Formats: sequence, structure tokens, C-alpha cells
Amino acid sequence: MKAWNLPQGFSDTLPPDAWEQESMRRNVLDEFKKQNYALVSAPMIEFATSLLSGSGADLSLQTYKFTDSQSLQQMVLRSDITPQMARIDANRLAGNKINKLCYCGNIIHTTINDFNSKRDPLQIGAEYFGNPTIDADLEIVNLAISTLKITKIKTIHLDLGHIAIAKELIPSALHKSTKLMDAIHNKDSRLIEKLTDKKTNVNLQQLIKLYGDVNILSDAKKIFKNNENIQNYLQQLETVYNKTMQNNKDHNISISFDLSEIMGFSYKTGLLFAAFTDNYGKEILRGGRYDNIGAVFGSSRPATGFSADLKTLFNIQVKNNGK
Amino acid sequence: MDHSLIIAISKGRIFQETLPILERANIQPTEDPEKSRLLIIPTNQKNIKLLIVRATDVPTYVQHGAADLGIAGYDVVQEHGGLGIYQLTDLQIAKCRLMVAGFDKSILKSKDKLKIATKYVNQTLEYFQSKNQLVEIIKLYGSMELAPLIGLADLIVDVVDTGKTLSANGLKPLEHICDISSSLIVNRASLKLKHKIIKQTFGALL
Repeated sequence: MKAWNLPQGFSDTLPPDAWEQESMRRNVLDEFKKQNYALVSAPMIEFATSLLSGSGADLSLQTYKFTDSQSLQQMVLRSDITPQMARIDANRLAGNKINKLCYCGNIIHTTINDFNSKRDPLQIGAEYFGNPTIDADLEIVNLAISTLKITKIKTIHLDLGHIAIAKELIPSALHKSTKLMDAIHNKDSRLIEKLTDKKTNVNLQQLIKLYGDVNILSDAKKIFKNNENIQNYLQQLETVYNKTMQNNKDHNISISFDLSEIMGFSYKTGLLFAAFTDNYGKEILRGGRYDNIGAVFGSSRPATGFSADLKTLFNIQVKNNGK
Repeated sequence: MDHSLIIAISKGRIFQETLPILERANIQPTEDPEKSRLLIIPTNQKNIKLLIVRATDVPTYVQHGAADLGIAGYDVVQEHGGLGIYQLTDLQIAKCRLMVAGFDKSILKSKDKLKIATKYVNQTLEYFQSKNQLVEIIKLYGSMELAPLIGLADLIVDVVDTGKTLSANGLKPLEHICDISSSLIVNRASLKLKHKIIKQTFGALL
């Protein structure tokens, strides 16, 4: 092992990129400030009981753990800032009816995963606590788009989904089956058939085919015409689609739908979205609603938000402008 | 909007059985990969190209978006883990079975930790875990049948088509893990960004 070596997934940011990335960070935070999101900073290390609960439950394998020599409790190096925001909203700022918070900080992952080709992302994001209505989701979607515009990403593509639709179709006994969740997420129809009863299978086989442009919403309305809840969720998706298209007439934005996007099934509760851009094979930003995860910190709260890796956004911008 | 489509595919049986399917989607390669040294093969459609890669590499190309689509065996996709990949449709080609094979069924009742030779490490672990059997995996890349013959392993897990190689080496198929055929797989971002052209091109199959 040479002394100059870096572990897989870690990298330096050299001059002149580091200054440019820093001004991108400032520009995004300035936009958050303009939109009245309050900046919060939280520690790199917390107790496992705080960070690996709620939305952090799925992150256990992504997170470095060790023992605190002081308290002898298990501590973790943060792999996601969202659970920290949920803790601060539900406990430190519990008196406020609405909390709009934003952050930017380093996180560390144990492995390279599907969404991060890095183990040292610079996570930037915003969370809106205390508003259960679709207005909050819309505000977050718009803020996410503004963020991408500020980072000068050329083509912005938004993919919308709604996790409550899948929750309606999967019997609660199967809600903890990560195998089934992976099968749905990967559109693996063979595995879905193996893992479910006849009726669930029929519904889920239809669900995994409901992807594409806005027309799939009317297909879905027909297929699930007897389920009033699903009709409402589809209506929410349509609202977000119409308003987002309206708000962004000046900019080249495309929107698709995928009703079997169920990442974060265990804690997400409503509308969810991810952003993509041309010639980049992974998502560049993601967000969605995750009501009630504040319960472990003392108050159950409506919540929606988004986050992205600033280093990834910066690298795409450099590549875009280099061409 | 980018309208190009890159399809990763491996030479041999999968390629031969995929050709008629591509033909139905009006895609004809301009070169025969079995004869050509080209690794990027153009087609009659300007925006569609074929990438010739090793079968086990197909999911990797698709996962990272180096290819938009791929044709890959269910065994290969499962072993890869399927992260960032959608399995759009089962093409019902290159059919075979993933099986446990060995000399005799009685060894499967053993309470000892069994030694299994395979290249399907993840699926083997998952299968024996579901049977409450402890196993030690010996990873091999080929000639699996040799392992029990020379005492390297108690059993093997491998894909079986006709079963002739097994019987020629005195082995029997013992347990059926799953049926295998090849799927059309697609990169997650490509399906979002190019759903129109993908549906246009492969609509009949989806």
C-alpha cells in the first residue's frame, strides 16, 4: 500500500474545482435562504439509537458503527443527514408549528451503492416539517428544481411516484419483506409471482408496468377504479404534474411517472420523486414525503424533503460545460 | 432529448436466440459478432447500437448506464443483485434450470456444513439459507463438475440445460433451485429519460 493511496469511493477536490464547487454550495444555500429555509448544522457522529431509527433504519449496512469510550453506547458516523433534521424538528424545535430546515454537510458510506458512486458525498438538502398537504410537496418539488437550475444542469428530468399506492396493494403481512420490495422495485415479475398470493400478484404485475408519460395516470385510474384511496393519490400526482409544468414553462423540464418506485418503503408515506439528467445513468437528486418518523424523537410530524450530493451535481456540470 | 439506444448483449446462444426478437422490433445488426472483431455493432437503425460484452458483464454495463438496455440470463441478473436495473420483460429464450447436483441425494440430509462449488455465490447462499443448511462456498468460474469428482466440494450449483455434462461425469441433478431464461433489462435512468423510444421500439414485447 502506497502512502498516497485513497480508499475506493473517496476523492479529493483539487484547484480550481474546489472553489467552483464551493460557490455552487453557496449559491444553493442562498436560494434556500431566499425561500425561508433555516440552516441547521448537526454533528458528524451521533448515537446509533438516533441515526438508525425511522428513515435511518434502512441505512444500517451503509453506516460505520463504533463504541463511545465515554458512554459505552454504540455511536455511528452519519450516512444521511435527514434523520438528524427529523430529530431536530421533533425535539429541539418542537414548539414550532412549521419548521423549514436546510443543510449541507459531509456524510460517509461504508460501500459504494446504487445511488452513490462515492463513499464521501457532500449532502445538500431541505426538509419541510409540519404541513401534511400537497402544497408542501409542491414547494419541495419546486425547490428541488430550483436547486438543479442553480447548479446549471442542462436537462432536468423528474420522475414522480406515490408510495401509498403500493401500500394499498401489498398486504400488511408482507410490508416487511425486503425481498418483495426489491422485486417490485426491480420490476422482477417472476419473483413477485413467487412471493405473493394470486390477487396481490395480479395487482403488482399491473403496478410494475405503470411507467411512462402522464398518460399512465389515466391507465392507472381505470385499473384501480374501485380503490378510492388510490384515485386520490393519482389525483395528487396529476396536481403536482400540472403545477410543475406550469411553474417551469421557461425551462426545459420533462416529467415521467413510475408507480412501482418504492425506495424507502418502510418509512416513506406519500409522493416521492427523483431527478435525472441526460447521459448520466443514475439519479442525481431524490425526495419525498416521510410523515411520522419524528415519533421516536418525541413528536409525530408530517414531513417532506429532498437531498442530493453536491459533488455529483458539480461533476455533471463540469462535464456538461466541458463538452 | 437523446434518442440513442445502446443494447448490451453476449455472443453465443443468447445472441442467436435474441436475433429473431430484435428482428420483430425491426433491429438488424449490420455485422455478425461471431465473425466480426467489432465490439460496437451498428444496426439498420441509426440510433441503435449493440455492445458485445461477456454475459456476466451485461448487468454491470446496464447498471452504470454504459448501455441503456441489455439481454441477460435471470441467473446472471440475480447474481449481480439487480441494483439500478429494471427487468422489463422475460423474453422466454435461452431457457435452462439452476440446480444442485452431486453424486447422491443422501448428502443433502447431512447435518455437517456442506462444501458447494459454484459461480453463483449469492443464489447458492440464499437457497441453502432458506433450507436451514449451513454451507461453505468454493467459487469457481467453470468446469464445476470436476469439484465433487476430486473431492474439492460435496455438491455443485450450476445451470443445467440437457444434463449431459453431469451424467458424463457421474453426477445427478438433485434439487431444482429455479427456472432460468433471459430478460430484457434496462438502466433505471434510461427508462425515465427514454421511455418513449423504448416503448416505441420494444412496445410489442412489453
